Amino acid sequence: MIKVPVTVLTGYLGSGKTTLLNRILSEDHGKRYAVIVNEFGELGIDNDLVVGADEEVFEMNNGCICCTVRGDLIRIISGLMKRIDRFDAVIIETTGLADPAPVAQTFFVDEDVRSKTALDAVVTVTDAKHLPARLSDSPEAAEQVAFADVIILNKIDLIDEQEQQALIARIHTINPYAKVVTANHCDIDLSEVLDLGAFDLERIISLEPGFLTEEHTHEHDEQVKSVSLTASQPLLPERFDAWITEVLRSDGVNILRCKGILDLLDQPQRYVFQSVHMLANGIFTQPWTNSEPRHSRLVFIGRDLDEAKLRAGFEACIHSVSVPQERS
Amino acid sequence: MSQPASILEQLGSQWQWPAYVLSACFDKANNLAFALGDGSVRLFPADVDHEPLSIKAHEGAVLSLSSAPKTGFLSGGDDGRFMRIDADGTLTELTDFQGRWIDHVASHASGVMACTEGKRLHLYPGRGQPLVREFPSTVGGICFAPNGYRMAVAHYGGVTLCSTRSADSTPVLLKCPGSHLAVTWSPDSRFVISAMQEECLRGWRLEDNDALFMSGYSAKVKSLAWFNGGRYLATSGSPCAPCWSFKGRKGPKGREPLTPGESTSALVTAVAGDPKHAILAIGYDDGQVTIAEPLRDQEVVIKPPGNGAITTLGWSSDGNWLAFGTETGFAGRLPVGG
Repeated sequence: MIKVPVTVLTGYLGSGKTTLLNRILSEDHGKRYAVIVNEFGELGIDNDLVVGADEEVFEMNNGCICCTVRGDLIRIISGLMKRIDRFDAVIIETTGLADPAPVAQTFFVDEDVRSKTALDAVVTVTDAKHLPARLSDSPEAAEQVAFADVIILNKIDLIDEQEQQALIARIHTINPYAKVVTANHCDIDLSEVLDLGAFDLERIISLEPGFLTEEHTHEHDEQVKSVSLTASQPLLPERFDAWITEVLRSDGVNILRCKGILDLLDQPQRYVFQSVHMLANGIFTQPWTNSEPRHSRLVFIGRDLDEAKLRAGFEACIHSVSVPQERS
Repeated sequence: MSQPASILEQLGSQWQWPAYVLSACFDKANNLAFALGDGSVRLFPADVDHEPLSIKAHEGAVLSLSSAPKTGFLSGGDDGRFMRIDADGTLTELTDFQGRWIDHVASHASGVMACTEGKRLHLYPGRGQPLVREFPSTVGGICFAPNGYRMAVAHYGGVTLCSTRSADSTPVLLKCPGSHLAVTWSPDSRFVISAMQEECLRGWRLEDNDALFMSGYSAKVKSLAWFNGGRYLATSGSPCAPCWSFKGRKGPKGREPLTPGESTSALVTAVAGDPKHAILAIGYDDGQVTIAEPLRDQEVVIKPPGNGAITTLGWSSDGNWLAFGTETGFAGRLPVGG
């Protein structure tokens, strides 16, 4: 069965989120959307299905303290699935102050939700002029950037080229794998934000980090940042499994997201891995071809990450060759 | 080669509709209603000579259906309307909560009707003003006490028992962390059982608040059914239909459930029981419906797999009829009396 894709749209009031929602709903794309919003009234469209949500976050009794889910989403999505023939995708709007993690975790934890829908991507709409100040004064803003698959820098005309470069660099220190799209009045191509499959392990083919410029990485002491780890020798599967399990168990509260494409010893296929806080999944996907270099790449995005400790743990998983290898 | 006719095909009736069947429900006069995901209610009067009716009860999907206090039905929809549907098909709007979803509806023979939207429970006594009560979170499920004086309301953090008649009486909170969904009150009034987000049941013996905990399910328990005079509670959410015994003073504490309907490949999604006898209907996610006699270890398949997961089973209060529906709009009715 084809699962209904769900896009999570975050961003502060005034960032242009509603403009984007209105565009998605009004553009002539032949698709029917169900939109789950926090507040009615701002949307100019009544043709599509708009549902009010209550942002009820609750803890799961599964011994995992950061495992919070959105109870109202479970209820609403279950209700929407009863009229499944009526729409092609779901968009969930969250407020600027809301933590995106419970929304994402709902799609990992609840079996009913998981069986009918699939999280497609987290899209964060930001006001390019005000984002630098928000990143400095609000942990929520940094976390929304950290969590996003796509970041829309809206109202880009209000800043100059130099400010734009600095802002993009700063975003990439927090989240090197987010796609940054610039816009005015959210005038983006909708294919940049919809149907991306960012959480679909089968569709994650490469993890190419956004460019990093050294001077900017040191300019701000970001609380939320990323740690990228790479290895050109294969990893030992058992050791990696034990290490990542322990890392997520002990530091999962601070690790917002983790993604990896890994070369495991004696495995012809890529192992693709992702997590949201402590909830993780991983599968073997496409085989490595002879013409491409096999390597592992793993990125952690989170608060107060201990880079040295993560690096040491990761390196201990690398298969070290004690006998000289035959060279062809 | 054609398949031999199923028991349903030989003895019952079946229908195919274009939308998800949310609920199959009999009223006390054996009128039968099916609530569908396209907003319609399909009504089959007990008098079989009477034509079945298709009633456009709601704009969106019907979210909840129950029998009305005397005859006929109550329904709630994602269009915010709480409706009464008389046995002759007459439609009456009881309330319109614009922009809200009516998640649950229920009624009691004494005349009280209830519905919930979000965190609020609305009670409509037979006469007098409606009562409104608000809970800490969205209501997961509601159930009247057998005498109709109280109602159990499941929500995040536990189950609240409140009066259906007076706004002044203090509600009793049965506290238990986590999200409580479906809730049921035992026919002997002694126990309240709730199904949780975490694939388990919680329960309370009301005389002393003694707590029950039943786990081991592989999915959320969405269907709960008392049968055999309230001696057993049948449940979904497992590859069989665990039936917990409430025969003794202690209820199921320390006792293994009966496990009729064991399947190697399918999950039980709905249960319904004969109110008086130890006979149970079990519906699976592969579309099969089985009737079991758990105390005699006898089972018979009345509908083979296919037509989508069983979403609902209803057994008439006189024990004579069984009805079911599936997620692909397939539905059926079968005489089961005698």
